[in-house]
Amino acid sequence: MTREEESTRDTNNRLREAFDALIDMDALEREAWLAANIKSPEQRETLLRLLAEDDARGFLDTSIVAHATRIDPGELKPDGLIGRQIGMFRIVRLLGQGGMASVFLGERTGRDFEQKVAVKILRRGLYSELEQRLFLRERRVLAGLSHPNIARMIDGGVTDAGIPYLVMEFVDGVPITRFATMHALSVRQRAELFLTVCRAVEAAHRNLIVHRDIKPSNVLVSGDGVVKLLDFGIAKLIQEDNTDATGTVGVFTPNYAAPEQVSGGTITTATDVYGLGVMLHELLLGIRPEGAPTRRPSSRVVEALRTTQPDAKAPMRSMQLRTALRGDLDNILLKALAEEPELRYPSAGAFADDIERYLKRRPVLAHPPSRWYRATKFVQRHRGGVALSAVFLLALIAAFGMTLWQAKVARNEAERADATRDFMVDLFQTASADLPRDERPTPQQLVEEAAKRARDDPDLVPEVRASLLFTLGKVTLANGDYKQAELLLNDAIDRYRALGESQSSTEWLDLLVQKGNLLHRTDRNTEADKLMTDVLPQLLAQESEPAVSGLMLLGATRAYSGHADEAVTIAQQAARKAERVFGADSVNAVETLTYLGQLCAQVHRYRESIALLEPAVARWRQLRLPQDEEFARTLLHLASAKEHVGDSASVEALYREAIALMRRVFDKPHDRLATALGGYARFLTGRDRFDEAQSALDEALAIDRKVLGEQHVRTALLLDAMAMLDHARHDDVAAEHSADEATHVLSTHAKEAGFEEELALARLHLADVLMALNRFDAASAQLDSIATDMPRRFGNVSAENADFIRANGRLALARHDAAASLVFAQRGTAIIAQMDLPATETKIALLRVHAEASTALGNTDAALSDVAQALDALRSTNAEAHVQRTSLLALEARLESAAGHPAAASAAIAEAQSLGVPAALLSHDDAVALNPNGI
Amino acid sequence: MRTTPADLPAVDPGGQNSDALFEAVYARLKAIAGKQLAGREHGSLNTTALVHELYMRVSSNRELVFSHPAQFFAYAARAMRHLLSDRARDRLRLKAGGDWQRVTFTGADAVVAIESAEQALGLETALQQLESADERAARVVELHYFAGLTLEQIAQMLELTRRTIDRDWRFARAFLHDQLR
Repeated sequence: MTREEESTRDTNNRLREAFDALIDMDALEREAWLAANIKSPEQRETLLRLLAEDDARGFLDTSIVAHATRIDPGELKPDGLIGRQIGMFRIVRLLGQGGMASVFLGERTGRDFEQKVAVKILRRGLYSELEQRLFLRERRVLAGLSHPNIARMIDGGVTDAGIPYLVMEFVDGVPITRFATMHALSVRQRAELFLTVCRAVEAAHRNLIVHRDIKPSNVLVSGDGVVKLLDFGIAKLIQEDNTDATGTVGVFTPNYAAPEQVSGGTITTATDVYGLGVMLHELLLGIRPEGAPTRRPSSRVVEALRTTQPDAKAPMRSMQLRTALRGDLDNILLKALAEEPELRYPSAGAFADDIERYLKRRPVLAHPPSRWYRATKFVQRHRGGVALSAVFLLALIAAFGMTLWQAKVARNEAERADATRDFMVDLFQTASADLPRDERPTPQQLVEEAAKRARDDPDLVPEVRASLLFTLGKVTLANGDYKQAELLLNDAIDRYRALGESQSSTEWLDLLVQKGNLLHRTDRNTEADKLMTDVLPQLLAQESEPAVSGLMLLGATRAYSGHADEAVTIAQQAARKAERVFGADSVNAVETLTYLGQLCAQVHRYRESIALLEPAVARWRQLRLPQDEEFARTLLHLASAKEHVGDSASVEALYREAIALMRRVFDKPHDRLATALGGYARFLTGRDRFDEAQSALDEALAIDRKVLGEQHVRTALLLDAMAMLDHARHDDVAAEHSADEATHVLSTHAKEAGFEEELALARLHLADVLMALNRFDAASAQLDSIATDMPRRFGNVSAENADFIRANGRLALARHDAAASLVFAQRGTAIIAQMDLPATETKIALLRVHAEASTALGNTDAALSDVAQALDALRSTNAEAHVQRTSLLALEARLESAAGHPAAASAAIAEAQSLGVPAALLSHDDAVALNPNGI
Repeated sequence: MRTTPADLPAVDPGGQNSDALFEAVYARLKAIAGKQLAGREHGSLNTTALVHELYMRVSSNRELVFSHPAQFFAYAARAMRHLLSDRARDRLRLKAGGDWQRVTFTGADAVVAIESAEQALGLETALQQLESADERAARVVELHYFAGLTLEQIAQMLELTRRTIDRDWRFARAFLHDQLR
């Protein structure tokens, strides 16, 4: 040992000794000891430091493994995986390693097959968390893509150890550039090969995916010439929320990166176009372009022929190459490689189309930059810029797709299709702008911007403009933005007119129908009516969906304006057309029938309504369409229509089914259920099933009182039904209370709610109740107040009007004007005779009045004949209505008695008593008549 | 860096064999570490378990012969030390450039990784310093920190008192931390 080493050794020993000594002392002791024993300031320094370190935490307090893990969270050694089983596949060997993942060859052997796959396993490296996310994204991306030229994903998952993996189609091939060299492909052949790649990328773009890493090593060509696009590892899903606040790590291959990738700008489909452009450049020239070239690529041929990049070689080694490239290919390349994304092809599809044009020797769209450049930039990358929400955009795309499909102008079709598609893709391109959530515009802004473009874009032909505005209008209308929709539709209408669009074209009709719907929905019914009436001939002549819609709309508008007959005729025509256009068993046809059937019911055309609703319901069941609220409503309408038509057999079943359905469909008390219960209650009241009716009404009222409140018209309707129930069981005191309230609420709100009909009926019912309470003046006042309304609203020849007349007849009787009463009764009966609906209830009531009037005038025989008729009618249509029958029998007994036929009277009484109706449910007079001896 | 720990019975006088032995141990360790990481989430490894497993494998292997168990642990410790440095160097190399250009370097993970890597290399240097200053303490660090033996076990193995080993460890730790500042 040298002197130096010895010296150092000593120092160290002393240091160590000192440390050992000091370690157990407290601060004061240490001070003392140091002062006494250590002369050198440095040594003192050192010791103090060491003592401080002893106290503190440091590197060695974390295990070595933890440190190792931080440095490298777990490098997955490839050899560790060979032979392992991942899913159904066994790992055979390593194929290659990228920065993010290792790719292995995997195979699965079965009895008579052998499948080779590529298994991509995430290497858990430095960026593990980020890369795991990218990896899983790749899996999602690939799962959504299905294209013959994109490597198919077979399986994907996470191993037990928590490592994500992808199993993909194994592509046994070479990079596209090498393939071209190996087979000495010509310029044309390379272009054709390249076209396939473009179409594959286009498929990704259509799925809102930007590849972001297009380069030859990601495009392999197999021995038999099949091109496969690989590695969507860093592909971006456009509609994904941009959760990386600072943007994803800029992972890309520098030589193929677009300018905006390098500078950290927004990534769009045009970014892929750049990558494709680089690839094409390499294919055609054998060298890569330098950034965004401003010189024509063909001018670099000399240089290209001199240098050779390892994988690529130029198609031909002479100046002929220059000639081949000059012109179209030059322009195409320049466009694809333009510095600014807006100047490039908007998508791979557009790029492919131009290549196709080149191959077919048609003029390409690419022009030298100066002429193509637009003064106004549409895309702004930062605040205030417009990006589109993908969902809405898809709706637009779908809608545009429809427009194109309907385009009939053959000559312009291709142009129109291209221009529209380019427009859409351009719009779509801005969707890729990575704007944070709160900067994304509302659908309204989108539409405005799209409309602005449609109007201002100089490259669009007028037909396309008009078509676009129309489609935007349709979409906006569907979204409920009526103001915006009207502007757009009107604009479209003007343009179509200016273009001299044929009046009989489907598109034109569709446009008008949309406008009509808009008017109808914004309560401008008269205008809508006029609009549709003007095109009625076309609506009838055309066999198309717009024609069906238009007729439906016209039916509704005619009904609204009180032209019931016409409404029904048109509805029937619409129904038949719907069956032809959509097919009788189609959902569309069924829905149309349902709508029209309900329309007929609303204008009281019950037979026509049944003719439409019954088959609709049958088909609905047959087609197993969802049993939803709509269906329940249809059942109710059908039930009501059948009631009116006198087909009581199926009515009850329909009501019960509708109610049961509604209970299932609505998870909490719903007003519609109350309406259904109310309808059922009225039906039950008519059958004298008072308890059931009561329970239904109780439930219904509870719902409506809670959900709508006391002051609501629909609650009032239920009260009206309650009044009628009480009236039927002769509890008119209670009935008056309900009827009063009902009329009060209805009269307040009838106009605004459109419930004038119901109000009139409520007053009629109140009048009946008042008459039963002998309050004839009050009853008279009610009847007077509806005197003009009744025939006007329901029509002269209607059950309601007949009933109104009957009420007047009863009033006249009460005022001892039998003659007038008789006239009323006869008028009423005459009306019923004219109807094609039985209106049996009203008919029976009229017969009663007629009978009583006849009696008062001394014509007992006629009266008895009336009663007999009434009893017959009642027995045949409503056998269970015992209370009503008892009442008629009581009347019969009184009349027979008065006519001096005691036996007949007794017979009537006996029959009545056999029905066993408690006296409480009868009127006083009836009760007395049936119990003449006061037993 | 010395390949044969002093004071421990030598495997054989020839330098080559001990190098080979070391390499073998190191290779084994890497493989085991790799497999272990593959088998667990988030690469949670237990040093002791790792070395224990290594010992099991190694002792069942006739090619690797240790004349004394302590020797194995010394090798294991050395191997772990290598492992750490290797990773650290790899990590720093990757940061500097290479196949993929990382334009933005986001994520706390990345920062921690680099810092850890730099520190790990610093540790290596510091250890070498410690070896000059206090050999035995350095060895204790190796056996305790890198090979995962308890201080008790080390005391037994080196046939020293527990107190001595405790002191060694404290000094070594303070020293190394001081060097790492």
